[in-house]
Amino acid sequence: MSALWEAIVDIWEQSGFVKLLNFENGGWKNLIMIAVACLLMYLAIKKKYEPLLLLPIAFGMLMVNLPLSGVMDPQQNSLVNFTNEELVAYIDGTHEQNYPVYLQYAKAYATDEHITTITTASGETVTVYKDGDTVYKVEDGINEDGTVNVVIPYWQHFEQGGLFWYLYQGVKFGIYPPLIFLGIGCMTDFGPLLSNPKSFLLGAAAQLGIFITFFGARMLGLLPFAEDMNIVFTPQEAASIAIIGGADGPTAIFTTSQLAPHLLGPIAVAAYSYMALVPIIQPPIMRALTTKKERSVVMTQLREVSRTEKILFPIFVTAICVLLLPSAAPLVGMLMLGNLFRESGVVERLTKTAQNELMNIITILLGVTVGATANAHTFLQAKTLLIIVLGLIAFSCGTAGGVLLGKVMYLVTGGKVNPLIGSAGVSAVPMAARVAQKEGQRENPGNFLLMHAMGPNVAGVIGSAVAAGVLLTLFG
Amino acid sequence: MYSAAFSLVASANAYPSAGMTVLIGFVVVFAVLLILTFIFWLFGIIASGSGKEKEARPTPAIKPAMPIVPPTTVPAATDDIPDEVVAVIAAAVAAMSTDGKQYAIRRIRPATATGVRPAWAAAGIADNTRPF
Repeated sequence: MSALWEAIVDIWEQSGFVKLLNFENGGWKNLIMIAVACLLMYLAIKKKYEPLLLLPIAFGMLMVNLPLSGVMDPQQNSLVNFTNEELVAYIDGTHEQNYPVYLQYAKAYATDEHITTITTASGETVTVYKDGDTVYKVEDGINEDGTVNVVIPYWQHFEQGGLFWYLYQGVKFGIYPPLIFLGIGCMTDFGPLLSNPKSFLLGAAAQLGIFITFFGARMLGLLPFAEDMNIVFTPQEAASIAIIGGADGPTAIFTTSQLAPHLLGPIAVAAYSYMALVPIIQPPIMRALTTKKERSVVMTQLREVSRTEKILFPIFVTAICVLLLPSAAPLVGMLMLGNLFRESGVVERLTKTAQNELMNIITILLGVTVGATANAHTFLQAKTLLIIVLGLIAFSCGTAGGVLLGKVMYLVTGGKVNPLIGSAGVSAVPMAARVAQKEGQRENPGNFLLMHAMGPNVAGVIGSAVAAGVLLTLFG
Repeated sequence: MYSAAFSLVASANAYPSAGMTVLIGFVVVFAVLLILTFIFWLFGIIASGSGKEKEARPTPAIKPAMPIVPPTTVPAATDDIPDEVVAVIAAAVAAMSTDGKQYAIRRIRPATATGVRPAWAAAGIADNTRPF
């Protein structure tokens, strides 16, 4: 019976529960992270806040914060020196090969005190080079120049990594976000943008939030208590936080994975949370910056766009963006490839795969692995709170930038442009366009702004990819 | 062009200052999207130009497939709608019926139900918003 009891105690002591309940060793941090993960799952399931990404992110966060799960442990692959006993055993021919052994050959100047002979277990006499207590096997005797060829063996220590660590390589090397963009390209109709190219400018103005937030994040470092509170952001970190203002999840993840991968967890959570909160964050800003008269503007019907224009669009956008800003190539290129699939009409199978199966698979992989980067050590810092605040500022300034340019357009065109559509320039397709539509209908129930807002909305996707390209070029 | 300028800025003195980054970033984003605006504005002009050409081509006269018969004498139920409105609707139907068939208007009713979108408007909106 006592053996059974000992076994049970042993299992308990080796379990994650002990680590989790070991508050002195930081177990409480894991408990907080598990609570955060559960809250995110609640928001995703019950409130339907971006559930497609928030749910896998939250689950990845839960798993990585269960002690000893090892899902995010990196693969160990290193060369380890032999101990003195192992070296003797190696020369003796009696050592056990648990790991692959690598041999390195080196030349050493040999004096009489270094060179000695030992007899191995099989009775063979071997010349060895003695360096203090350490002995190395010598090959081919002593050279003419007084040197010897010493054999230095190493273990190759290999430990398998955790599942999420392998999947995470797709984020680390910037593979998943462009593949998501391929699917988005297949689903996006750029027709409204083509029929009203001025929308491009609204998509550009809404990137204001990115750059203002970058400035703000860098300025935080000038505060007298910044160093003490550990709230000094490097240019790379500031750029990664600022990109939340683009309101584009894949772009934020892509930029952060290249510039500040240690902030990936908080930035992804902030980006997707704010995208889900678009209907709450944007309307007050839109109402504050516009008059009733401006919000009531009914815009004229958009012209019909020909198929040729729609086919040429992705080709031209790719060529121009990639030539001007090569670092935006992965995002813009894949977005436009997806759109070319869609508009060409000749690769229906590829279009369906890219926007359904491929996109769903990548969404799962991206979600769980990004969530798994949010461990207690990196997440529970003052910086995380600041990231959430700065993200909100970025988002709000982006909305304001779009609306303000919309107002300029309203004035320039003599009241033909409804400034509300400018707010859709912050990407977050199609939620931001729906918000513009809803706000327009609040003033004038007969007004239908959705298609007009879709132009800046899809221009915002291109705009945030271009902004990401600028930040990657400057700080990558 | 811009990327070359960037690499110079980035390599000359570590990284550009925060203020300079804001300036460079905003200018480049606007420049790229301004170029795209211009290109697709040109596209629009070319496309609408070729569209007008097509419209300008004389369309062959449509010969009625069957002899025109005098209109029936059955009065249409128009619920006190002014004659002008009935005439306009009839003219619109006649203008659209280019298939040689004759159409009769049996009833015209005003769209009185408040809060309900007119059928044509609803159809138009449904058509426009289907992708979303």
